[in-house]
Amino acid sequence: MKKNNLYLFIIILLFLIVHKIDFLRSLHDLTVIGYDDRINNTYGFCDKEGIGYVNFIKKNFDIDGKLKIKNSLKSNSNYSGEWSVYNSNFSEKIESKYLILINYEKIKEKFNLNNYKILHNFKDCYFLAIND
Amino acid sequence: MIEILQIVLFFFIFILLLFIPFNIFSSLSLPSNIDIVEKTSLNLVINLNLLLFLSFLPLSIQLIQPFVILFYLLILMIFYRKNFDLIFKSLKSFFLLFVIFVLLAIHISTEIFLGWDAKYFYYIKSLFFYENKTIFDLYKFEDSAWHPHYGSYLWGFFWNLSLVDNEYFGRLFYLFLFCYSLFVISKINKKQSINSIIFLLLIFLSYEYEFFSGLQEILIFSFLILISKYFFLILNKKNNNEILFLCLIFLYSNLLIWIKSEGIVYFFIFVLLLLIQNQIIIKRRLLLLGFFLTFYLLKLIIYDITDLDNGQKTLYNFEYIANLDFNLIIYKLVNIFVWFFYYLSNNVFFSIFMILIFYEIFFEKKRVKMNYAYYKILMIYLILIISFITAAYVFRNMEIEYAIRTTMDRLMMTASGFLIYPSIKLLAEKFYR
Repeated sequence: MKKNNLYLFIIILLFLIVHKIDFLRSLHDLTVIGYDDRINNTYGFCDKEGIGYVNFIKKNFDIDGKLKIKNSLKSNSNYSGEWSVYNSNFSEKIESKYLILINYEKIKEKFNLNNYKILHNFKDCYFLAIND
Repeated sequence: MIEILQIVLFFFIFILLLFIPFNIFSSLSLPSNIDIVEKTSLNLVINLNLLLFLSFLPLSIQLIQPFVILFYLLILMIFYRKNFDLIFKSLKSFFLLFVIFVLLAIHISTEIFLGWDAKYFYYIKSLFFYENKTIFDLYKFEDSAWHPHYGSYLWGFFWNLSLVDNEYFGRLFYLFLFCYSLFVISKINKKQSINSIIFLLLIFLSYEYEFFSGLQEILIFSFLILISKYFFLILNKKNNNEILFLCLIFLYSNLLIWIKSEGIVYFFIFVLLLLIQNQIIIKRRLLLLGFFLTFYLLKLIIYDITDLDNGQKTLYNFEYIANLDFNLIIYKLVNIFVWFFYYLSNNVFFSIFMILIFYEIFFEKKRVKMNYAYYKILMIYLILIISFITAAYVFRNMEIEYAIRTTMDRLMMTASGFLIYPSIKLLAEKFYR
C-alpha cells in the first residue's frame, strides 16, 4: 500500500473516532460549561438524582453530621443518589443528622416536613435537619 | 480551559511512569536487545506494583504523595541527566497516544456519570482514599468492604493529584492504561503507519464511555491485553528474554487480584498456562508457582489484617451450592448457553477471535498454522474462561437471567482482552503472507 494511502486511512480512522465520541460537542461542553453545571446536566439539580442540589448544599453549608438523600426515583435503583452524600468520616451505624429531599411533591406521603427543621429550600427540594 | 490544560498535564505525568525507574535508553540498566516498548511496560508495571505496595501502608495518599513526587523527580534527574534530549525525542513516538488520550479524556470529562458498581463500591472506596483514609479504614464501608481496593486507590491517588477538585481526573489513569495497552500491542509491523492504523482501529472498536464510568473491568481488560502479548513473546522462537517476559506476566497478573474478585481467576489461569509450558525449565516454573502462591497468600493475609475479607457469602455460599437441584442447574445452563452466544456476538473481539480460530482449525493448511504452543495456550484459556463463566452463574445465588443481563457483557469484555493480540497477530500474518 502507498504511504499516502496509509495516511489517508489514519485520518479517516481519526475522524471516525471523533465522530463516535461526538468530540466537538464534548469540547464545547468542556470549554463553555463549568464542572458543576455539567454535573447538574447529568444528574439534575432539583430533579432526577439531584446531585447538583447535594453539591450546592455541601458547598454552602457547614455540615457537621451525616447526610441522607431521598429522591423521587425508584428506590434501590442505580439512581438513589446515596453515593453523593457518603461521608467516610461517619460510621454507617450512626443515624443521619440531615436529610435532603429531591422532588418532595412526589414523595410527600412518606415525609412530613413538620418533623424537620427546614434549613434551605429550592423549588420542591429541601435541605432539612432531623429533629432529635 | 484549565481542565483541558490539566488533561494535557496528566498525560505527561502518566507518561513519566513509563520512563522511570529504569533508564529506557541506557544499556547499563536494561539489556539493549529488549524493545523500548517492553522497557516502558516494565517501568509501568514496577510503578504500579510500587503504588500497590504504598496502598498497604497505614499512610494516607495526602501524606505519601509529596514524597512519591519528589522521589520520582529525583530518579528522573539522576538516571536521565545525560539523556533528557532522548526523552523529548522519544515523546514523538507517543504523539498518537497523546492525541487519542486527550480526545477520549475530553469525552470522559463531559459524560461524567458513574456506573452502578462505581456508585455502590468503587467510588466510595476511592472517596476513602481521597479523604485522608487508608486501607485500614475500608472495613467501615461495611457491606462492600470485600471488593478489592487497588483500582479505587489509583482513582483516589490521581484524583488527589488534580489541581481542580474533579473526581474524573482519577479515572483518567484508567484511560491511560487502556490506551497504552492497545498502543503496545499495535506495534506488530516495521511500518509505523500500519501500527498507527491498528492502534486507531482498536481504539475505535473498543472505546465505550461506560468502561470508564468507574468500573474496574477496564483495568483487568488492559492488563490482559499486555499479558497476552508477553505470553506470545515467551513462546516466540526468537525470544531470548524469557526472564523479563515472565517477570512482566507475573507483575501484571499480581495486579489483577487486587482489582476485582474475578481477577483471582485470571491470576490462577495464568499460573496454569505458565506451568504447562515445556520450553520453560522446570526450576523456573516451580519458582513462578511459588511466587504466585506467595503473593496470593499475601493478599489473603493483608485482607485479613485489614478486615476486608468478609461479605461475598451472600452471592456465593456453600449452603446454596449444596442444595442446587438438577432441574435448576439445567435451567441455568440453558440460560447461560443462550446468553453466552448473544453476548459473544455483541463482543467484537471475542467474535473475531472465534471466527479466526474456526478458520484456523478447519480451513487453514497445516504448514501455515500458527505457533502451536501459543495456539494451545489460547485454547486452554478459552476453555477455562467458558468454564469460569458457566460456574460463576450456576453457583451464584441470584435469579439467573437478572444476573446474566447485568454482568455477562462485562465478563465477556474483560475476557476478550486476552484475545485481541492473537487476533491482530493472526490477521497480520494472513495479510502479509
